[in-house]
Amino acid sequence: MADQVEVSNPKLIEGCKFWDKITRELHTAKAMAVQLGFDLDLSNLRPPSSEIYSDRDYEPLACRIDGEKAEMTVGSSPGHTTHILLDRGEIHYYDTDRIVNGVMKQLLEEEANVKCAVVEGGVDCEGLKSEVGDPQRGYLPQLKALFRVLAMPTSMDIRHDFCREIVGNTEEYCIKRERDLFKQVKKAYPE
Amino acid sequence: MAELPLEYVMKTTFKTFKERELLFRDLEEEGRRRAFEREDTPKNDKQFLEKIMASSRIMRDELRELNMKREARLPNYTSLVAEYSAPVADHCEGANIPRKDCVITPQNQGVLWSLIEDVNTISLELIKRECTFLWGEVEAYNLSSLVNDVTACYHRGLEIYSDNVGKWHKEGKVSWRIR
Repeated sequence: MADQVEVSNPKLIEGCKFWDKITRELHTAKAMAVQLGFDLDLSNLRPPSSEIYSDRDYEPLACRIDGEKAEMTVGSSPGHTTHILLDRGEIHYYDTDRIVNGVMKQLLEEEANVKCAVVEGGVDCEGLKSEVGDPQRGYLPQLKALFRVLAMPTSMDIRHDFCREIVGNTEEYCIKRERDLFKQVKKAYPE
Repeated sequence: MAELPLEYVMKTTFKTFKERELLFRDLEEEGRRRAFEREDTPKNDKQFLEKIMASSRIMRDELRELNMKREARLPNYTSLVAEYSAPVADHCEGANIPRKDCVITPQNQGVLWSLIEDVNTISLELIKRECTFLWGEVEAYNLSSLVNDVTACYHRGLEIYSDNVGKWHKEGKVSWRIR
């Protein structure tokens, strides 16, 4: 284990494992929170969602850490990836969906304490510190918050399209629905 | 009782990366020896090529698990070349023809011929050189040349496997470099 720590940042490893746990459980559960025993009830969302991720989007998910860099595959579309450059304090989220980029910018800024901009082809953030969060707790919680956000973009476009198909659901409502979903995920996975 | 697939037997017998790497290197060595013995009538070359096929598939799968799909194409195509080479070796052995006299042409082995072309194309993309040495270079391409080339491509796949799989650790969907 000692040589593993030297080569790849252990905080990134732990963060990715946290993300893996969240995505795996959300996928396995198909959002049937009651069966899982945590407080993740999507039935009050309009329309109620039967699943958070499509199988097609979940299957290719991956997080690959090399030193201070994490490369994540967050969906099935080619290039739906995220790069975290811990030594440079940068996050690059790659997506072409305007709505998803807007939601991700907000969540990343609020949760990971970084400054982000929606750019062509995604969201660029800077200001991520390898020592963010509470030093007494090994700085990890803040980084975990980042990885918790990164459980959200998978199939977000599908969820949004599904939501908009219902007559009367506005774009604002469907975006709020995504943010509500994140709140529930945050509650279910505090750290 | 049906025989267990060779790939499964290898995976379950050689559980760690180190054990598998040693097995794969032994197979490579065996391939070079068989190719060198040109005058001999092939003996169990078919079984040897099936081992190359199975172990190449293991390399392919482990590379794919690390999301190295591009790199996995070389062992994947090596496994296909080995798969299509096995019946050729079986024929040479059955007919008691020495390796050097068992000639392979695009006319009598069209699919195998195009698979060798494919594995070289992939090798060029990945390592900037073809993985075969004799294909297209010798006048009479025979079973000895074929075993030599399959082994050479297997060697390149094994290099990629050792350079990558041995340096990465994977848990669930998370992998990280350990060396």
